[in-house]
Amino acid sequence: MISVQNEDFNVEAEYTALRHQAGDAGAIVLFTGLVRELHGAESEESDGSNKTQRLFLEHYPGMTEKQLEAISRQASRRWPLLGVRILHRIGELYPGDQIVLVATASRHRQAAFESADFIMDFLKSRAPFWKKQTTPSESQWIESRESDADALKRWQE
Amino acid sequence: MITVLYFASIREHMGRGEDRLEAVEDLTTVAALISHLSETDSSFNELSQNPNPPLISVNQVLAEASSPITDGDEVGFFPPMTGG
Repeated sequence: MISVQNEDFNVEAEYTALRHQAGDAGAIVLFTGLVRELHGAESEESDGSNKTQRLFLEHYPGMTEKQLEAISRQASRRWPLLGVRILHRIGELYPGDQIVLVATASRHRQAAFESADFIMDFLKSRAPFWKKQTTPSESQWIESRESDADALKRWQE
Repeated sequence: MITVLYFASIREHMGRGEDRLEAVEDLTTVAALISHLSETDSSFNELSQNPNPPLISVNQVLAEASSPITDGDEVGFFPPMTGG
């Protein structure tokens, strides 16, 4: 199931729902992404000017859901999954907030781990979301990273 | 009519989120649409001169300049995605 929403989510409720849906699953992998205070900064050292005060998440309504459905279907063709849950938040978010949830259920853990990883990699480069970061010094759109595009290549085999 | 949508930094650059183009008989590919918009809109022209041109979608599916378009289509222009 796919959701794109402003509201926060409850990990326990999502886990319980997927567990019931997934029947005889032997493994559920659940990933959550959080808003970082030092987004994009590899060093933890900071004078404070590049600290995220808030993040604005824009998306392309309609296309976002289609792309997430397509990514979910791709994962289900590649691994024997018993359930997939993708939830992405939009709008205004703050450091420490939950931003994305990806959960997969399968009979065995390897398929659940790998498919969750696969979905996150494709979500980052193929689902039309854009982040605008506000720091004490400026407000700017976050640029995509080469490493995100590179991450897709390891699934091409 | 063709609906053109702009998102994120592209939307801010254009100063609007949407254009609606009537009389689109000659606009049969995304490339033709880009040429048309570049000629009629200086903000769009700046975009198409950029070394990193926008990504393109047609009817909410990722597309390319060579992709065909037809009356009633929705074409999106946006920067590389940064979700997750």
